[in-house]
Amino acid sequence: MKKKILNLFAIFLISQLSVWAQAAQEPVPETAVAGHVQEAETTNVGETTTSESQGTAMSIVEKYVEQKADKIPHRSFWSERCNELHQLLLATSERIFSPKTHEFLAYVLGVVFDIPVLILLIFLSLTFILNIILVALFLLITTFYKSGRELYRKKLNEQLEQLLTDYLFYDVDEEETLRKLRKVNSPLGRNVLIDMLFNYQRNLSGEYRDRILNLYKRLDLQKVSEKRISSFYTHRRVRGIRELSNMYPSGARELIIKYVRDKNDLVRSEAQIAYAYLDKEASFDFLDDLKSPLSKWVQLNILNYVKLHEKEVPSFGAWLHSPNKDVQDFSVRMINYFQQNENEEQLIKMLDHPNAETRAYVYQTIRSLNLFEAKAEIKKRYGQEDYQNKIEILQVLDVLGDKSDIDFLAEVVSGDDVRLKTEATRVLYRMGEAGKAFLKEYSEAEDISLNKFVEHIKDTRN
Amino acid sequence: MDIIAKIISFWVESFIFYYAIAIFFAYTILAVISAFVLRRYYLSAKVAGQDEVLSSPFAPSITILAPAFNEGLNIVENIKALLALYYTNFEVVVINDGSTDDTLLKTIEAFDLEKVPYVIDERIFCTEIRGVYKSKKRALNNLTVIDKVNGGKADALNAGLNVARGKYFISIDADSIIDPYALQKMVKPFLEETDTKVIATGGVIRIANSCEIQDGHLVKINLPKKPLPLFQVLEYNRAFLMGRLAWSRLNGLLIISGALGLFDKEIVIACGGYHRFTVGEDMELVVRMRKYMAENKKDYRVEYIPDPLCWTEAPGKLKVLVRQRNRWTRGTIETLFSHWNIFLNPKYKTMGLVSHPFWVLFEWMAPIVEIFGIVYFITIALLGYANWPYFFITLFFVYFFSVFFTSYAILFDHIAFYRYKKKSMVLRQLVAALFEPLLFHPIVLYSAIRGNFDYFVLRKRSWGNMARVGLRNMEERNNRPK
Repeated sequence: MKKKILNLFAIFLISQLSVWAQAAQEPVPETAVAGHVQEAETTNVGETTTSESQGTAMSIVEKYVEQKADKIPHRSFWSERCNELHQLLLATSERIFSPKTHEFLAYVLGVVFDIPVLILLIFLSLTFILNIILVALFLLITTFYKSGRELYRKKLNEQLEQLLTDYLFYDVDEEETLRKLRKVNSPLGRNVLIDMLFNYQRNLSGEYRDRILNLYKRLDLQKVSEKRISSFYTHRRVRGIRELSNMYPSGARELIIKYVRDKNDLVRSEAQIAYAYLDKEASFDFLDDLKSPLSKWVQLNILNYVKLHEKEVPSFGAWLHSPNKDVQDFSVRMINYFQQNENEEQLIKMLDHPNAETRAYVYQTIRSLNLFEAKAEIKKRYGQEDYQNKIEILQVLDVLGDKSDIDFLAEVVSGDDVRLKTEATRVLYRMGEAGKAFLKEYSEAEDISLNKFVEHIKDTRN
Repeated sequence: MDIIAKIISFWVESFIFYYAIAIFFAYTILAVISAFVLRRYYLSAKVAGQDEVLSSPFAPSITILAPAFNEGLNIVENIKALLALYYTNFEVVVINDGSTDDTLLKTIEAFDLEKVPYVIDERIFCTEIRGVYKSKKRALNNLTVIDKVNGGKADALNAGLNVARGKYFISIDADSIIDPYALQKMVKPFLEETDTKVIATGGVIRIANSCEIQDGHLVKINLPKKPLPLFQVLEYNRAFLMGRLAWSRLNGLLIISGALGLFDKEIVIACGGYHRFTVGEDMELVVRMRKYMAENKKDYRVEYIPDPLCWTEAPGKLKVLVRQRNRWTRGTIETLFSHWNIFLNPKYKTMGLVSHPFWVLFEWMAPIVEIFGIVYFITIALLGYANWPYFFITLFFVYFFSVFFTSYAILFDHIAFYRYKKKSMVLRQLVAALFEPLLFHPIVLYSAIRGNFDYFVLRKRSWGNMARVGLRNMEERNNRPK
């Protein structure tokens, strides 16, 4: 730190020396020199002898001060701004008014600008007051606008809710409902209506949901959503994609596919989710050549959709060899969730994946699928794995472990790491009698502190 | 003598002038960036869904770490509120940091806790843990209470980290009120990450004084009635909506408030957890995490959510406020100086070239320059050198800028979040903005100077006591018949 400060100081000094040298070389007006000489005489009364060199140094300093002192920036700054304002007003008056009026105005301005500080104060005060008024006005307008909008939305929501409930559950005529709904034609009203239809279709199923979709279609609201998709604004495009994929599935697929690889993260995510929604056979074919990222958020949404609609999913083994790491991760997690044991062989091969996170998903899947065949392989990899994956491996053994693993686990138990030791103890304890016997023997013969670990894992809340 | 005076006045006044211009310029740029970010967030929030995470088996696990020191007044309500947060895969770890009141006892009674045999995996050092408590009720399986010897907030968080099981952890103040949707919203950036790793997310902290609170939940938002908390509403608005938002966009955010932050647990542990001997452990941790990622040549981001997700009690008494600000100043100094190798170091990219120098020049140095300017002016005024008209213009300009800046912060908040719905609330904020530079700023300035003095001269490093009224007390006060 000290070095940096010294360096900065040195750079500063060098730059200043050059300024001083320049100042010394510049010619000084005679009047200024005369003034300085006079000043020097008055300040040095009584000093009869001064060396020539001292005098030169002094004059350099004086010259420097003379040139700089009047240019103290905050003073010159305001003076210059004042001058600029003065010039601007003069020029404007010359351009707008007749020469006579301009002359008069120029005189008035001359008088006024004799006191620049006053002008500045007035100018600043006006700007200040104007700003406060503008902000206050804007705040008030926003308050009125927002509260009005909220009120309108609330009222409209109540009306539409009543209308839709009557239509759905009390068999009110469809044409009559459409006639009433067509009256809602303001942009905000349409937004509220689409939102409401969207929420209804989300929470309903079967015939009721179809009736809502029918209303959406007959009201030509898909045209509003289609317009949104091609909007400049991200949020509108996202909204359009969501609406179309949920409420106009027959026409949406072709419109949405081009956004699956969109550069905009939000639009791409929404389109990927939508595409999965629209995938009637749940073929997931968009994963085939997906090069753009598939975020965990999108993965989570796709799974939610598949779960919600109880869709038949394909075997995800096909995408385990995708060049896209996200697609691989997603496939492993889906294999785990849907218990796709048929992918066992390919999964075991995935243990060689260079990415630790992907391997962690593979370990979790092996555990969940009870893949005994993988046990030897994962034990072999324990030494090379990172800390998190070592825990994953021990958790796999918690499910798959048996007597044959005792030697391996004994080595972990003899180590120093508390978490790994705890997990290994848990595996041994849950293994059955052989494991428990080992723990007892080991704690008596080798490490009495192991009892604490046994107590810890015995409590299922830990 | 005259020449010396002229030289001094030239240098001093030039320095102060250019410094002020730089500070105005920097803050204006930050405000403009914030406006764009806020607009983008506001628009995308209209279509953002986060409920999907609630029922997903893919939802990552989160540990809520809530350190508590003498929080007996609020602890039960606050834990209940934490347990009621909308998320699917989370646990609550409350760390009783050697409270001298009945914090632990009340918790044990309210949640039917018992001491369990527990082997602590001490990956980060912390003071002695006396016991770990779990509930006898199965429904409260996600609650753990740690009882430990007092060691300060950072130490308590480290103890919590040693017990946490989540992939991510959220650090909160036990006496804060967390928005029920906070976890869903804060975890989303982690789920949306693609090539760049998200290491932490922060949220906006708001002032809960005078708000109506029931069972640890905020039921009605009010503007604080007392002037000190009211001024802090403006100050928080400015800091969160016009500063941190821009820093997050520039990927240069150095601080995530200790009252609410979600972190990647393994990265925090890899960098050694919270620094136990600093009073600004929240900022220090973020700086260290960023340093760790940069040194390991990993792309990363620190995200920030402009939504008000946490409500906290602001000091209502002058003494407490001064102590808090003094502590913040010392925390800033400690962090900036203990990581001085970042300063103008291109290895640390935005943090080294922009954020750290900005904090040194405009956060730490600003009060020092200000007080230096005041002392300088008084001196030249006494010596008869003062240029009064220019003094008044400059003073007026600074005041104008301050009010201007604050009024836009109010506007941003109002447009984006519309929390203070009554017109009177908006107007009160505007009126407060007029008085804030005159009444509140001097207190903040004094506290900052005291902080510098305490740090550099008195070598003071410890936390001061933060006497709180307690949100439950506020609740009682709110419920009192008028």
